[in-house]
Amino acid sequence: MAGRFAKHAGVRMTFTSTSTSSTAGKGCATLFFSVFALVGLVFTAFIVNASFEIARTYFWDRTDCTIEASSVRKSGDSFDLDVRYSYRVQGRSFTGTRFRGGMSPSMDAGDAERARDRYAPGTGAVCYVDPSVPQESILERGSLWLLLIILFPLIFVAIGVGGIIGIWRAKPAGAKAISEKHRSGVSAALGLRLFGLVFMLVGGGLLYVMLIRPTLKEATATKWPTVPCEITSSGLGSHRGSKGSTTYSVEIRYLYEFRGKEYTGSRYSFDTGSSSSREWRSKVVAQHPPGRKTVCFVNPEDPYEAVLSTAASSDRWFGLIPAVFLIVGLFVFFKAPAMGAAKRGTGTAANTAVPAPLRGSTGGPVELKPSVARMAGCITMLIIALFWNGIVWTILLNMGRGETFGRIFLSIFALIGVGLIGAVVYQFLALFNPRPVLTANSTAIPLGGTLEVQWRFTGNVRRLRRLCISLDGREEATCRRGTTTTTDRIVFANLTVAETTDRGAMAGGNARLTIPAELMHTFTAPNNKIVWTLRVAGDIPKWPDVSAEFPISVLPREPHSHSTMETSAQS
Amino acid sequence: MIRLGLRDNVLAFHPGETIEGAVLWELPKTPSLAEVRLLWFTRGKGTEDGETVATVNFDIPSAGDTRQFSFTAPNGPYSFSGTLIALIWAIEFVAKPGDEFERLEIVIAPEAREIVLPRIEQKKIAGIQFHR
Repeated sequence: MAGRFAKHAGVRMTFTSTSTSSTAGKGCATLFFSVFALVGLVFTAFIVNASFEIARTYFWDRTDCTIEASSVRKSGDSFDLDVRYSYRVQGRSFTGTRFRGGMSPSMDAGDAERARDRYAPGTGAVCYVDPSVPQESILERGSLWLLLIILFPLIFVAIGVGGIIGIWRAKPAGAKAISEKHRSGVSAALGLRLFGLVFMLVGGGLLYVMLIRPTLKEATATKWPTVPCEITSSGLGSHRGSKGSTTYSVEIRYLYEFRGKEYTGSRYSFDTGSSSSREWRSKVVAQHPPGRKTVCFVNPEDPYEAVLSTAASSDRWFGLIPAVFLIVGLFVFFKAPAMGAAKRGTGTAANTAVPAPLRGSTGGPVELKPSVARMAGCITMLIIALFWNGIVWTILLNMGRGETFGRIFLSIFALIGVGLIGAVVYQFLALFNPRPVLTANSTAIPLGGTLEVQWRFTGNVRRLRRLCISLDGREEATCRRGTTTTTDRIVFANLTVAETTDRGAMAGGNARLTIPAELMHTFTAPNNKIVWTLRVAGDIPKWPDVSAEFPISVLPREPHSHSTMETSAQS
Repeated sequence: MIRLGLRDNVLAFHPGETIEGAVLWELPKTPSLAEVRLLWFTRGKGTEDGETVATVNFDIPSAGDTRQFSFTAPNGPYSFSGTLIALIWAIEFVAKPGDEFERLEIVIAPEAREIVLPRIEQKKIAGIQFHR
């Protein structure tokens, strides 16, 4: 039997090349997963160390202390509390200067001022002292909730280690029974679900931080009372990245008074962090020189929180990027069982790959459904074009002047965006084409059976110059490697149903066709398919052409006997 | 050692025809499961698909044994070979625990002949595909 397939060299050779059991392939895959595991392990070690620092403070002694001094200090992009307090342990006096222990979130000006006021000089407080080293103390313990962050690097470790184990435990393709390989898609589905979960968590988290949270905060802040405030300092913060790129942030401080108390604010808007968008930040800094009097929005329930602007910056578009991760994650997570089955080619019965004969009455004409609705195709293309261009052009227009290489690089993506817009226009114009309506004697015809087709058009059929209706049979092979999926299509049968340039015949007609008995019936497996479609192609001068496909099922030849499957075993 | 054979060494069948054979095995240990499976799988450019469509399970298998089996060749899918895809029917004997197996590839198709799909070259002119 091997010789039979060996004569089809294309198939045989391609099959051999898809094998992933080669040592080189395993080495590359191991390297890939090792990076995952290593990055995860480094971060895990870092978080474990930080967690230990937090956790041990929960075993320290609560001790009364007196605040001697406290002040706010700017530290890079955030603020710190400089504090000094005194306490006594076993009759000896000690002085502490640590505010918080271990890993703790950074503070903005409001947070720092809030802490400063909480620990005003001369007031009593509780501090935590290491009983074995009384010189070591802190004023506030870090939150144990931060320990949950460890889950994030652990996902990377799990993917890396699991991947490496999977690669080296997997047996060569020839060393395992094929029926065993296709027995269960559960493990594949589980891996895909984990993959989808990571995408969902990362995408969802970033989407919340970059888009949802600032938008919600803005909506709330517009209802806050406005108070006069004065800019005390402003500047454009520039941050040099490890790869030479520069990002910018608005560094601004302002004084405001609320209910008779003075506060310092450091937030311009709710768009957090820094980005490569320099232009709008430079304008903001120019519009807010030191000494400028303006108004700011103050949270009445927490006057330490204030903001100068409740408008979204152009950076907000970046918040849509994580949405892609979230959508991909959701899709993979919920489609994992089906995708796992597709990866494994799992099925439960022979008939899953072969179209079932129509039950009951098969007589009477049936209107065929096109494979893609024209409006749906146009809308899909529009969404893709808007999404692509929205992101690419926002980044491009906000790039700094000195980033020539970046501009050139992004121009390629911008050109693709222009092409997508062209595709939308093409699809939109095609909406006004005459629409073919095909009716067949059945949607499922056996090999050797007769297909009777009637056609007509809605819309202005006079625009057609030429019409061709054909029955096409094609192979469709989908190759899945990692996250890359490619589908190849080859036509093995092209049977002309009708071909005309006559206006009357183009408007409507009918034809009969016998499906050759020696060809292959419709076959539908997760990755490999034999597809039969009625294809309508109409030529319209200087306009998008009419092009539509109507899938039909071609059944195996009518069985003459043995319609049920029987099996038996004998000792 | 496993030997799997079909009656009269016939390896090609019509849909609906009976496939009869026997399997002989000598294994180091008594298997807890021994069965013969009728399955199809794909070869070619796409990721492999496959499906077991019938199974004959042997009761109380011993370490060395000979058993007979029979299946009815299903009505589809047919064995075929195209440019991108080939569909192969096979009979596999599997014993567990362990990875002991033996496979015999067969043809199930009308006239007991594998269907060979041609390739049609197409070229596209002004949105309409013409065929040579």
